Amino acid sequence: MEENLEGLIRLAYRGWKRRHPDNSHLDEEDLAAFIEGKLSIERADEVRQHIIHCQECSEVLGLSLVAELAMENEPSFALVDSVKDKLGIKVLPALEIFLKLKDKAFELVKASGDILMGQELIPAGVLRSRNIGGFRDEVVILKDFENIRVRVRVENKTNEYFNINIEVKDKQSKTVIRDLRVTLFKEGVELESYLNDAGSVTFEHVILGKYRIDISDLDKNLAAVFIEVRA
Amino acid sequence: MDDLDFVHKFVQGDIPAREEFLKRYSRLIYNYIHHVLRVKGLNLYTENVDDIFQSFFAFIIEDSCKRLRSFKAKNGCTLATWIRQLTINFTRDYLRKIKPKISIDSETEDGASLKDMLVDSSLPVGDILSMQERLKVLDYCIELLSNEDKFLLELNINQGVGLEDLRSLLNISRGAIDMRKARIIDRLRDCFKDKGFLS
Repeated sequence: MEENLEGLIRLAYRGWKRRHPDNSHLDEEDLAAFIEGKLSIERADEVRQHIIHCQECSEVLGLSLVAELAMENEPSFALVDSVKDKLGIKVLPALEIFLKLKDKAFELVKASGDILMGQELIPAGVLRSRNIGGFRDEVVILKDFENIRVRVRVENKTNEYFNINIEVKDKQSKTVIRDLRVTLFKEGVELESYLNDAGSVTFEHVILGKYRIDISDLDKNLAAVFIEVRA
Repeated sequence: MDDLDFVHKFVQGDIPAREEFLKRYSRLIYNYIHHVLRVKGLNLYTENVDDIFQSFFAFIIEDSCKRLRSFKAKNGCTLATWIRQLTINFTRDYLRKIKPKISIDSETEDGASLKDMLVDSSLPVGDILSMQERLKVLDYCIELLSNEDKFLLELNINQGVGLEDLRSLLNISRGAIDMRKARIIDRLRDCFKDKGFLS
């Protein structure tokens, strides 16, 4: 009976509301200040009164009222880059890698570089069409940028951790460049940063997740690597 | 730097401010787009979400950032909450454009939708006249409620906002919200009984 009554109340309420419409609308700032409890008592009363009569504003308010919205979705790097471009922000050339760790082996989901298979470099798309996607111990991916060639070696350590090794060479001479800085970020926060004076940089025991690696010389960023490894 | 200065810098084309804006809000915007789609029961592809996301940024910067320039921090509202409202409105508008014209949600003249009728299939069926009479009485009872009570009905019963999610807006404890809702239902039940319905 209780459920029936609530259903009946909902129907009756909607009918009542339709007969008492208010076709003006609140602007976003009024609604934002109302949600944050920053309106005067009088104005807050007016807003409540409006919400009762306006389906549009009420729906918008309803959609805003989530005590804790799980921020579980993240825009892809490519998507953010496309927006950066719109906003006039210079987009750093990037290598994007997406791996899944399954049954103690990597599955290559996506990569914007070439994958090293034996002595052969194969574009990710070609690899997929050959139905090759599993890598037991490591995946090595290379990409050429304006003046440099970046090699990323992702090593499978356990099902929870992996290592990332970055080597940068001069594109023409193929010699290793040693005075570059390689920095690992997660969600915009710098985690580790090294000079590759030993010829390459390794980030060890990296937990599954989404990372960005910037490669820069003294003057500017040269390239970025976006890497995501999921279980 | 306060929100207004920040927006001003963005509008002026300051690249670090634009980068910071993306860093601060891209995740929030993306998740609220997902949230609106989920609440609306739409299972769109990632491409649709990405399209809304891109369109949103195009929208806030078009006409020399006209929409962003309209932010004045009125009554001290924060940029984050304003962006949230803007995202929700934008996503609704986007969906309206792609939504089929005839929907199960379209309401009848009495304000009851076909979906409501189907959901409330436990109500006595076949006796439409009786139901209309009940609705009329309840309509009268609702009219007698205070605005505060109607506001709770509006959000919880009409919009389906959970009582837990209403806590911060109403600034009262969960127990107090439960009690308030129970009282409203009691009032409506009593009023309904007085008119000869329910035993």
